[in-house]
Amino acid sequence: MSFGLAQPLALLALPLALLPLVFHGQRVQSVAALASLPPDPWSTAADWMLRGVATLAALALVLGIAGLYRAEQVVERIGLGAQVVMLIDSSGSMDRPYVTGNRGTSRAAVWGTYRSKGQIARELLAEYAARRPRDMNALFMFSSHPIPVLPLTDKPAAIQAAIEAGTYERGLASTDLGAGLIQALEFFKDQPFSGSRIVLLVSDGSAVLTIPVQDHIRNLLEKYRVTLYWLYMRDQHSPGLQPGRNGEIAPEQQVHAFFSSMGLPYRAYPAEDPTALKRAIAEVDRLQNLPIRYSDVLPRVDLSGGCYLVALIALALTLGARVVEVEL
Amino acid sequence: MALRRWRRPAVLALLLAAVATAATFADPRLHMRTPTYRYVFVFDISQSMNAEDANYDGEPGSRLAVAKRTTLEALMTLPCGTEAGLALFTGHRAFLLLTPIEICAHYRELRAVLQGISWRMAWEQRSEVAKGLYKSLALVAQLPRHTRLVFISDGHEAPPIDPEVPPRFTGRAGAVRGLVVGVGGDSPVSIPKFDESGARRGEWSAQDFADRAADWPHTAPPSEVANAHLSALKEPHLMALAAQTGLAYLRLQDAAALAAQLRHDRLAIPRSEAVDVRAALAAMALVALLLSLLAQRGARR
Repeated sequence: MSFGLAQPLALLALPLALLPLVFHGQRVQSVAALASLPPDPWSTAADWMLRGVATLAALALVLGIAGLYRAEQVVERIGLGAQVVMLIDSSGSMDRPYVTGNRGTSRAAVWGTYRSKGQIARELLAEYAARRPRDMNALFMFSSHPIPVLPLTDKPAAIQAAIEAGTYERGLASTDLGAGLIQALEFFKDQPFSGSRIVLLVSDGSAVLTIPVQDHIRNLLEKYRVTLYWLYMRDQHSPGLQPGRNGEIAPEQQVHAFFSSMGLPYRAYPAEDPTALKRAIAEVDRLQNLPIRYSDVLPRVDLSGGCYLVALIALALTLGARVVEVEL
Repeated sequence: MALRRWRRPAVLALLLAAVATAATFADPRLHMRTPTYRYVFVFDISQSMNAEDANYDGEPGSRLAVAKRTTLEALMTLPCGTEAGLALFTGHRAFLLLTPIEICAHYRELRAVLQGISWRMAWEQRSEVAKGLYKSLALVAQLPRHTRLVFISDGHEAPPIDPEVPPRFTGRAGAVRGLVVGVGGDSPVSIPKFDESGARRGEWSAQDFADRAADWPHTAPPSEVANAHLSALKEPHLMALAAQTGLAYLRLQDAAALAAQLRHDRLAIPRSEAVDVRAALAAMALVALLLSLLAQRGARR
């Protein structure tokens, strides 16, 4: 525990606090001959006690003015949380209307007149991050190139700022899901393994993964022991993840089939299901409760109020003593 | 008489001290106006920003690297409560990475995002500075009121602007306040070339641009077309853009100059702040206490 002063310059007034020791401030009685009075140890003790109390009052006032505080403390805690890399698809296809909530608005897809997959995705992510404040989150994006935005952080405001940033304007160009995923996984290379690791992919899955890229992804997932979650943003005109009668035709169905066939921890959450987010959070809660080390900051505590309280008591005592002084 | 005891100056001063101290518990506050700041920094990450004609404290470096370092250092000197967001520019638009967040609590995060900004994030090979600036202004206009734009670029347009169809600014000049920051040297230098893995592969040559003559307006002088692979800070162009959009212009020199511009009155956001005045009451109490001691010393009856 350490203490600090908000206004250290106020300590220059500290010598003033010693004045009560010199100037006692008590009423002076004239006596004909001091020597005729017997020495009284109780009187001497009372005298110095009163001086001490006045000194204490002055001292407490100076410390209060200087803004005494207990400094903020960083405590390391062991909690239950996860290291989550949010990997957001920021390609142009994410600007298309989301599967629900856009009825009658999307004939002419004019940006700003409808809710895009990307905007819905970021809303869901913001909610997810708000519900799991203990997690360390990182945020990566990808379109034609991976864009690593924010490394792992435990500051909720920072991750929310990164999530919100993508909601104002349209997304970028084409999609390279493979490159994005590989970069997000490679991020774990230099990270200490201090908790469960998740890549939370948020995408409409309109991408093609070639065989070498598939191998690379599988190897990295295994090597860095990462669980893959896919928050699937279904397009207004997409058949969804489950193959229909004609087999896996849509790109997202192929991507989903590949992830499912890896034999590694993986789960897809179609976001149009209103319970999907809840289920995803519950799943993370259930599976990812490995201990994680995180540091918590106990904010600084202002102690000047306490100083003033001490000063007030000391002043009241002094005042009381002055009022009961006797006149001979 | 009990009342007479209270009427002595020493006791009255002491009483004043006690009352002033007691008053601190009412937690009195004064409302004062203190400026605060909110910016979005937009970094040009097009390839010309890799040209190595900038310097940081006399140490040469690429325009982008120097811009990042100088910005970070300038940010560190701004008061807590300042908010900063970060965005990229390439192609013809800006792309927001981070909405503005408070700089002191998030210094580590801002530094990490800022240091991570790289030409490799570019989603397009073009660099249409004028359009990028206009789009940046439109982006910042959507953010909370009083967000200021800091647009950092070398002004290098690739492909060059066709004077017959220049990009049009449709916004209102001065609607978003801010700063255009020019980075780079005055004489044209070559632009480094990198491969996909990020390894350096020589420099862009005139040959690379030979087959791109179609990019150029037919009115362009041949000498300019021949030097398309070189790049310098296009200061007049950036100054003209700044003037057109109602922004200030600054040539990037050092962090102190940038910080001074960032703290310019025009960019400050007035804000009323409740200031704790307990210390003033306590000081009054201290003075009263000491006066009381001294008063008694003088009194001799």
